[in-house]
Amino acid sequence: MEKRYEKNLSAFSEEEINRLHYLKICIVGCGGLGGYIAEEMARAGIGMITLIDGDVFDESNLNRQIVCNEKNIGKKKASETKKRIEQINSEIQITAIDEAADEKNCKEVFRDCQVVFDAVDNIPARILIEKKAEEAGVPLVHGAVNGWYGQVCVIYPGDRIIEKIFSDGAAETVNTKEGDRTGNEGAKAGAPAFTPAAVASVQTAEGIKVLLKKESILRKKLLTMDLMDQEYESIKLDG
Amino acid sequence: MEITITLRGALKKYLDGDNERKVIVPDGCTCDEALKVIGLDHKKVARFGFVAVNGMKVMIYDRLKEGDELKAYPRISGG
Repeated sequence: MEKRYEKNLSAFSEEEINRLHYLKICIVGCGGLGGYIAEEMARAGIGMITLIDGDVFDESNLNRQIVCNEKNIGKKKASETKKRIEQINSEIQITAIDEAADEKNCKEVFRDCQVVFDAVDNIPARILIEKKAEEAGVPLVHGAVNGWYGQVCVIYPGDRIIEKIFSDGAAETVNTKEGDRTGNEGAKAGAPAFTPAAVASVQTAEGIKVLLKKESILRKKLLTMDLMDQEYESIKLDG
Repeated sequence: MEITITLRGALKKYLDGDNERKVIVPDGCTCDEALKVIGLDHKKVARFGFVAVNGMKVMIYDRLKEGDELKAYPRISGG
Protein backbone atom coordinates (compact mmCIF):
# COMPACT_ATOMS: atom_id res chain seq x y z
CA MET A 1 0.00 0.00 0.00
CA GLU A 2 1.19 3.48 -0.79
CA LYS A 3 2.67 5.50 2.06
CA ARG A 4 0.14 8.29 1.44
CA TYR A 5 -2.63 6.07 2.88
CA GLU A 6 -0.76 4.67 5.89
CA LYS A 7 -2.39 7.04 8.34
CA ASN A 8 -5.84 6.00 7.09
CA LEU A 9 -5.22 2.50 8.45
CA SER A 10 -6.43 3.75 11.81
CA ALA A 11 -9.91 3.94 10.26
CA PHE A 12 -9.92 1.56 7.29
CA SER A 13 -8.43 -1.83 6.52
CA GLU A 14 -5.93 -2.10 3.69
CA GLU A 15 -8.55 -3.96 1.68
CA GLU A 16 -11.03 -1.12 2.21
CA ILE A 17 -8.49 1.50 1.16
CA ASN A 18 -7.75 -0.49 -2.00
CA ARG A 19 -11.46 -0.88 -2.68
CA LEU A 20 -11.97 2.89 -2.66
CA HIS A 21 -9.51 3.19 -5.56
CA TYR A 22 -12.02 1.45 -7.83
CA LEU A 23 -15.11 3.43 -6.84
CA LYS A 24 -16.66 6.54 -8.36
CA ILE A 25 -18.50 9.43 -6.76
CA CYS A 26 -20.20 12.56 -8.01
CA ILE A 27 -20.19 15.81 -6.08
CA VAL A 28 -22.93 18.21 -7.15
CA GLY A 29 -21.96 21.70 -6.04
CA CYS A 30 -18.34 22.80 -5.60
CA GLY A 31 -18.84 25.58 -3.08
CA GLY A 32 -18.62 25.44 0.71
CA LEU A 33 -19.60 21.79 1.11
CA GLY A 34 -18.41 20.37 -2.19
CA GLY A 35 -14.87 21.71 -1.89
CA TYR A 36 -14.30 20.01 1.47
CA ILE A 37 -15.94 16.77 0.31
CA ALA A 38 -13.69 16.65 -2.76
CA GLU A 39 -10.63 17.35 -0.61
CA GLU A 40 -11.44 14.63 1.93
CA MET A 41 -12.46 12.02 -0.63
CA ALA A 42 -9.24 12.67 -2.54
CA ARG A 43 -7.15 12.19 0.57
CA ALA A 44 -9.08 8.98 1.32
CA GLY A 45 -8.08 7.68 -2.12
CA ILE A 46 -11.35 7.50 -4.02
CA GLY A 47 -10.78 6.33 -7.58
CA MET A 48 -12.96 8.63 -9.66
CA ILE A 49 -14.70 11.94 -9.00
CA THR A 50 -17.08 13.88 -11.21
CA LEU A 51 -17.68 17.48 -10.15
CA ILE A 52 -20.75 19.40 -11.31
CA ASP A 53 -21.11 23.16 -10.82
CA GLY A 54 -21.91 25.94 -13.27
CA ASP A 55 -20.95 28.76 -10.93
CA VAL A 56 -17.76 30.83 -10.73
CA PHE A 57 -15.86 31.87 -7.61
CA ASP A 58 -16.74 35.23 -6.13
CA GLU A 59 -14.87 37.30 -3.56
CA SER A 60 -17.66 36.53 -1.06
CA ASN A 61 -16.68 32.84 -1.25
CA LEU A 62 -13.22 33.46 0.26
CA ASN A 63 -14.56 33.22 3.82
CA ARG A 64 -15.49 29.53 3.59
CA GLN A 65 -14.92 27.77 0.28
CA ILE A 66 -11.63 25.91 0.57
CA VAL A 67 -10.91 25.88 -3.16
CA CYS A 68 -11.51 29.62 -3.53
CA ASN A 69 -8.46 31.88 -3.36
CA GLU A 70 -7.54 35.39 -4.45
CA LYS A 71 -6.20 34.15 -7.79
CA ASN A 72 -9.21 32.17 -8.99
CA ILE A 73 -11.99 34.69 -8.45
CA GLY A 74 -14.20 34.60 -11.55
CA LYS A 75 -13.09 31.11 -12.55
CA LYS A 76 -15.31 28.04 -12.77
CA LYS A 77 -15.72 26.22 -9.46
CA ALA A 78 -15.78 22.69 -10.87
CA SER A 79 -12.62 23.14 -12.94
CA GLU A 80 -10.82 24.91 -10.10
CA THR A 81 -11.75 22.11 -7.72
CA LYS A 82 -10.38 19.61 -10.22
CA LYS A 83 -7.07 21.50 -10.31
CA ARG A 84 -6.77 21.47 -6.53
CA ILE A 85 -7.59 17.77 -6.27
CA GLU A 86 -5.04 16.91 -8.96
CA GLN A 87 -2.38 18.55 -6.80
CA ILE A 88 -3.42 16.45 -3.80
CA ASN A 89 -3.79 13.11 -5.55
CA SER A 90 -2.79 12.71 -9.19
CA GLU A 91 -4.00 9.11 -9.25
CA ILE A 92 -7.66 10.12 -9.17
CA GLN A 93 -9.61 10.33 -12.41
CA ILE A 94 -11.42 13.66 -12.17
CA THR A 95 -14.03 15.06 -14.50
CA ALA A 96 -15.20 18.66 -14.12
CA ILE A 97 -18.56 19.64 -15.59
CA ASP A 98 -18.78 23.44 -15.58
CA GLU A 99 -22.55 23.49 -15.86
CA ALA A 100 -25.39 23.65 -13.37
CA ALA A 101 -26.88 20.28 -12.50
CA ASP A 102 -29.73 19.43 -14.85
CA GLU A 103 -31.74 16.43 -15.95
CA LYS A 104 -29.26 15.53 -18.68
CA ASN A 105 -25.92 15.76 -16.90
CA CYS A 106 -27.23 14.16 -13.71
CA LYS A 107 -28.63 11.24 -15.70
CA GLU A 108 -25.37 10.72 -17.60
CA VAL A 109 -23.11 10.96 -14.56
CA PHE A 110 -25.08 9.30 -11.77
CA ARG A 111 -25.54 5.97 -13.53
CA ASP A 112 -21.85 5.13 -13.17
CA CYS A 113 -21.46 6.32 -9.58
CA GLN A 114 -21.61 4.45 -6.30
CA VAL A 115 -22.48 7.56 -4.26
CA VAL A 116 -23.69 11.07 -5.10
CA PHE A 117 -23.11 14.03 -2.77
CA ASP A 118 -25.71 16.79 -2.56
CA ALA A 119 -23.68 19.94 -1.93
CA VAL A 120 -25.82 22.51 -3.73
CA ASP A 121 -27.31 25.68 -2.29
CA ASN A 122 -30.97 25.63 -3.25
CA ILE A 123 -34.01 23.44 -2.83
CA PRO A 124 -35.06 22.96 -6.47
CA ALA A 125 -31.60 21.58 -7.30
CA ARG A 126 -31.74 19.26 -4.29
CA ILE A 127 -35.12 17.92 -5.43
CA LEU A 128 -33.73 17.32 -8.93
CA ILE A 129 -30.65 15.53 -7.57
CA GLU A 130 -32.72 13.25 -5.34
CA LYS A 131 -34.97 12.38 -8.27
CA LYS A 132 -32.08 11.61 -10.62
CA ALA A 133 -30.18 9.64 -7.95
CA GLU A 134 -33.26 7.52 -7.37
CA GLU A 135 -33.67 6.92 -11.11
CA ALA A 136 -30.02 5.89 -11.31
CA GLY A 137 -30.38 3.64 -8.26
CA VAL A 138 -27.52 5.36 -6.42
CA PRO A 139 -27.37 6.45 -2.75
CA LEU A 140 -27.27 10.17 -2.07
CA VAL A 141 -25.63 11.95 0.87
CA HIS A 142 -27.44 15.22 1.60
CA GLY A 143 -25.83 18.13 3.41
CA ALA A 144 -26.85 21.75 3.99
CA VAL A 145 -25.59 24.70 6.01
CA ASN A 146 -26.62 28.10 7.20
CA GLY A 147 -24.78 30.19 9.76
CA TRP A 148 -23.86 28.03 12.75
CA TYR A 149 -26.23 25.25 11.68
CA GLY A 150 -26.12 22.27 9.38
CA GLN A 151 -27.77 18.96 8.58
CA VAL A 152 -26.84 15.65 6.99
CA CYS A 153 -28.69 12.51 5.97
CA VAL A 154 -28.17 9.46 3.77
CA ILE A 155 -30.83 8.78 1.17
CA TYR A 156 -31.26 5.48 -0.64
CA PRO A 157 -33.42 5.14 -3.75
CA GLY A 158 -37.06 5.23 -2.71
CA ASP A 159 -36.48 6.98 0.63
CA ARG A 160 -37.44 10.41 -0.80
CA ILE A 161 -36.10 12.36 2.13
CA ILE A 162 -35.60 15.73 0.44
CA GLU A 163 -39.34 15.84 -0.17
CA LYS A 164 -39.93 15.16 3.53
CA ILE A 165 -37.52 17.81 4.73
CA PHE A 166 -38.36 20.64 2.37
CA SER A 167 -41.83 20.03 1.04
CA ASP A 168 -44.01 19.43 4.06
CA GLY A 169 -47.01 21.35 5.34
CA ALA A 170 -44.78 24.03 6.82
CA ALA A 171 -43.29 24.96 3.50
CA GLU A 172 -45.64 27.65 2.37
CA THR A 173 -44.32 30.60 0.44
CA VAL A 174 -42.99 33.44 2.52
CA ASN A 175 -40.86 36.24 1.16
CA THR A 176 -38.82 38.33 3.57
CA LYS A 177 -35.38 39.88 3.76
CA GLU A 178 -34.26 36.52 5.17
CA GLY A 179 -35.09 34.75 1.91
CA ASP A 180 -37.98 32.67 0.71
CA ARG A 181 -39.13 29.09 0.70
CA THR A 182 -38.13 28.43 -2.87
CA GLY A 183 -34.54 28.07 -1.82
CA ASN A 184 -33.40 31.64 -2.31
CA GLU A 185 -31.49 32.22 0.89
CA GLY A 186 -31.56 35.99 0.66
CA ALA A 187 -28.89 38.48 1.64
CA LYS A 188 -28.14 36.84 4.99
CA ALA A 189 -27.26 33.47 3.46
CA GLY A 190 -23.91 31.88 4.05
CA ALA A 191 -21.79 30.48 6.81
CA PRO A 192 -18.31 30.79 8.25
CA ALA A 193 -15.81 28.14 7.09
CA PHE A 194 -16.18 25.87 10.11
CA THR A 195 -19.84 25.06 9.37
CA PRO A 196 -19.41 23.65 5.85
CA ALA A 197 -16.15 22.02 6.98
CA ALA A 198 -17.98 20.18 9.78
CA VAL A 199 -21.03 19.25 7.71
CA ALA A 200 -18.95 18.17 4.69
CA SER A 201 -16.81 16.00 6.96
CA VAL A 202 -19.90 14.20 8.25
CA GLN A 203 -21.12 13.81 4.66
CA THR A 204 -17.77 12.36 3.63
CA ALA A 205 -17.72 9.91 6.54
CA GLU A 206 -21.24 8.75 5.67
CA GLY A 207 -20.40 8.54 1.98
CA ILE A 208 -17.36 6.38 2.65
CA LYS A 209 -19.46 4.09 4.86
CA VAL A 210 -21.94 3.69 2.01
CA LEU A 211 -19.11 2.95 -0.41
CA LEU A 212 -17.62 0.35 1.93
CA LYS A 213 -21.03 -1.24 2.62
CA LYS A 214 -20.97 -0.31 6.29
CA GLU A 215 -24.17 0.48 8.16
CA SER A 216 -25.60 3.90 7.30
CA ILE A 217 -26.38 5.40 10.69
CA LEU A 218 -28.08 8.39 9.08
CA ARG A 219 -30.39 6.52 6.71
CA LYS A 220 -33.94 7.86 7.20
CA LYS A 221 -32.58 10.09 9.94
CA LEU A 222 -31.59 13.72 9.72
CA LEU A 223 -28.58 14.74 11.79
CA THR A 224 -29.03 18.36 12.82
CA MET A 225 -25.88 20.18 13.89
CA ASP A 226 -25.80 23.35 15.97
CA LEU A 227 -22.21 24.53 16.26
CA MET A 228 -23.16 27.50 18.42
CA ASP A 229 -24.60 25.44 21.28
CA GLN A 230 -22.88 22.19 20.23
CA GLU A 231 -26.19 20.36 20.01
CA TYR A 232 -26.38 17.39 17.68
CA GLU A 233 -29.42 15.17 17.31
CA SER A 234 -30.87 12.67 14.89
CA ILE A 235 -34.51 13.02 13.91
CA LYS A 236 -36.36 10.02 12.52
CA LEU A 237 -37.79 10.81 9.12
CA ASP A 238 -39.76 7.66 8.45
CA GLY A 239 -41.45 5.38 10.96
CA MET B 1 -52.87 19.67 28.17
CA GLU B 2 -49.20 20.32 28.81
CA ILE B 3 -46.51 19.83 26.19
CA THR B 4 -42.88 20.86 25.85
CA ILE B 5 -41.78 23.08 22.98
CA THR B 6 -38.12 23.15 21.99
CA LEU B 7 -36.76 25.49 19.34
CA ARG B 8 -33.53 24.80 17.49
CA GLY B 9 -31.00 26.97 15.78
CA ALA B 10 -32.10 30.38 14.60
CA LEU B 11 -35.64 29.81 15.89
CA LYS B 12 -34.48 30.03 19.51
CA LYS B 13 -35.12 33.74 19.55
CA TYR B 14 -38.84 32.97 19.80
CA LEU B 15 -38.22 31.57 23.30
CA ASP B 16 -36.09 34.53 24.28
CA GLY B 17 -33.00 32.37 23.96
CA ASP B 18 -34.29 29.51 26.11
CA ASN B 19 -33.97 26.02 24.70
CA GLU B 20 -37.38 24.77 25.73
CA ARG B 21 -40.57 25.74 27.50
CA LYS B 22 -43.49 23.80 28.98
CA VAL B 23 -46.77 25.27 27.77
CA ILE B 24 -50.46 24.61 28.23
CA VAL B 25 -52.26 24.17 24.92
CA PRO B 26 -55.82 23.15 24.01
CA ASP B 27 -56.41 19.38 23.99
CA GLY B 28 -55.79 17.90 20.55
CA CYS B 29 -54.28 21.06 19.10
CA THR B 30 -51.97 20.93 16.10
CA CYS B 31 -48.23 21.65 16.05
CA ASP B 32 -49.03 24.84 14.20
CA GLU B 33 -51.46 25.98 16.90
CA ALA B 34 -49.05 25.07 19.70
CA LEU B 35 -46.26 27.15 18.19
CA LYS B 36 -48.57 30.14 17.97
CA VAL B 37 -48.95 29.93 21.77
CA ILE B 38 -45.33 31.04 22.07
CA GLY B 39 -45.71 33.61 19.33
CA LEU B 40 -44.23 31.63 16.47
CA ASP B 41 -46.38 31.69 13.35
CA HIS B 42 -44.50 29.49 10.91
CA LYS B 43 -46.16 31.16 7.93
CA LYS B 44 -44.44 34.42 8.82
CA VAL B 45 -40.97 32.95 9.32
CA ALA B 46 -39.04 32.54 6.08
CA ARG B 47 -36.44 30.28 7.64
CA PHE B 48 -38.93 27.93 9.28
CA GLY B 49 -38.07 24.36 8.41
CA PHE B 50 -40.07 21.57 9.96
CA VAL B 51 -41.34 20.11 13.23
CA ALA B 52 -40.71 16.85 15.05
CA VAL B 53 -42.68 15.25 17.88
CA ASN B 54 -40.92 12.89 20.28
CA GLY B 55 -37.95 12.62 17.91
CA MET B 56 -39.95 11.90 14.75
CA LYS B 57 -40.52 14.39 11.96
CA VAL B 58 -44.23 15.12 11.55
CA MET B 59 -46.37 17.50 9.52
CA ILE B 60 -47.04 20.97 10.88
CA TYR B 61 -50.79 20.31 11.02
CA ASP B 62 -50.50 16.95 12.87
CA ARG B 63 -52.19 16.83 16.28
CA LEU B 64 -50.45 16.67 19.62
CA LYS B 65 -51.24 14.76 22.80
CA GLU B 66 -50.50 15.29 26.48
CA GLY B 67 -46.81 15.22 27.32
CA ASP B 68 -45.55 15.45 23.73
CA GLU B 69 -42.20 17.04 23.03
CA LEU B 70 -42.58 19.34 20.05
CA LYS B 71 -39.40 20.61 18.39
CA ALA B 72 -39.16 23.13 15.59
CA TYR B 73 -36.13 23.42 13.32
CA PRO B 74 -34.98 26.17 10.97
CA ARG B 75 -34.84 25.62 7.24
CA ILE B 76 -31.25 24.98 6.19
CA SER B 77 -30.52 24.77 2.48
CA GLY B 78 -27.22 26.55 1.84
CA GLY B 79 -24.20 24.81 0.43
